[in-house]
Amino acid sequence: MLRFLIRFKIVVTAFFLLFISLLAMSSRINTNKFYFRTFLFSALLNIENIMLSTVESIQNVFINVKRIKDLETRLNSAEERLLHYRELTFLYDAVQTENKKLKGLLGIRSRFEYPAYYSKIIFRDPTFLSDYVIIDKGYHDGIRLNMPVVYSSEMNDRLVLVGKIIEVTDSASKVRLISAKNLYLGVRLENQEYTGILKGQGSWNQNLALEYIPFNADIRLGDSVITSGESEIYPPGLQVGSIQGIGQNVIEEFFKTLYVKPEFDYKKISDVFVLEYEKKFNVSNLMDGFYER
Amino acid sequence: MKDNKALSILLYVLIIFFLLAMQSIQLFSIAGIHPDLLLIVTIIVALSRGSFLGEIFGFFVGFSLDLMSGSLFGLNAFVFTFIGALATPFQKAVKVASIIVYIFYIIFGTILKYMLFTLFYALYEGTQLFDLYFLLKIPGEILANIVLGIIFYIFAARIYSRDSYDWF
Repeated sequence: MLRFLIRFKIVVTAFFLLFISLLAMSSRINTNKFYFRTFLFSALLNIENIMLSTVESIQNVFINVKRIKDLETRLNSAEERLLHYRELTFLYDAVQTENKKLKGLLGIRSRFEYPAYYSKIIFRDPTFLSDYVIIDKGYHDGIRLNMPVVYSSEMNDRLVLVGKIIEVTDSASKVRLISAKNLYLGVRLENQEYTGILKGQGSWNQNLALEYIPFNADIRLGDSVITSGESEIYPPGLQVGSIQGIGQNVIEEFFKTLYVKPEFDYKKISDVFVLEYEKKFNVSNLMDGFYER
Repeated sequence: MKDNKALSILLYVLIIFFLLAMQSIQLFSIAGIHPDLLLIVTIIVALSRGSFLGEIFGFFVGFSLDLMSGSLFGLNAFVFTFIGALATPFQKAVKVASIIVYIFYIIFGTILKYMLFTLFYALYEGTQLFDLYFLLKIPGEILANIVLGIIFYIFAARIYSRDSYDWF
């Protein structure tokens, strides 16, 4: 018997196990009357729960790694978009500033009595004299020698004289500043009606010397100096500067020397206008010599 | 030797619990079709270790599944024991390379499982399982079982080639 069982152990075991299974099915253990299944289920469930939580933990690791990767991708994408928006904002600010500036320039242009060429300063005199600046408009743009160069003061909306064109190339021009050494121009005290000759002292931070003002003139510090209009180059009424000091010339006893601070700020100006001032008269033939240089 | 046996039994028990957990969370779901991991592992054990171990392993797998599931108690135990027991005769009847036998047996086992389910549910519960959805489910599960079975086969072949101890 035992030998038979050992010899046919596979078949015997199979039948035995199948019989148990059939018995389980036949006894309808899954009904509520019999608690065998519930008992075994409770025992197995605890072990299974541990297994399940372990497997789920491992699964969660993979899910979380994937989620982190997704988040990283989304973060990178968001950073790229943020950078793009920052660039756009920067561009928008730049456009807005330029727009404001151009609107201002249009407003300035409307105040001119003469045709004017808008121009940017592209180079400044590198020496300590700072006698000149170079602008980005030249012969092809209509710039000619001795044209006056002005800029618009933001303080009082007036046109301020900067200098005059002394050299012209095809695409750029050299502007000699009114502060340059040996630049002379005819000016007038705005409130006093006295006229005189303004002389550059060289160096942008030095005051200009205004000569030939009568010694009895009632001059006050801060009085405004404008172009007189007695000139072939400069139109009348352009603001030049204000009186900063009053001196007495020892040689010329009938005249005072006034010290004028230029209105334009050499270090700040970046945009200027070149005026096409048409001479309505010709005085050079009538005069013995030029006083304007 | 006894220690080895105890360790092996513990290992097999752990495998059963692990497979049950895997089956319950349906980790290896392929396009909505869930392969039967318990069936695949029962077949692997039965084909590599013989019908005797296969049927015992199948019984415990099925029994555990019966306890965990709400199906007809004993049905899974019957099905997996049956599949485990038929492994060696099937292997002898189909004299081809082991991987082909294995794939054929996966197909056979899956069909057999569904047939026995239909039969016993009809007998004991009076429920007719066989419908169009049931019919469509079988090829999908066969395919999923084959795909996952091949992956398991590669791993199992490596594991079984390493150990050399005997069971029972």
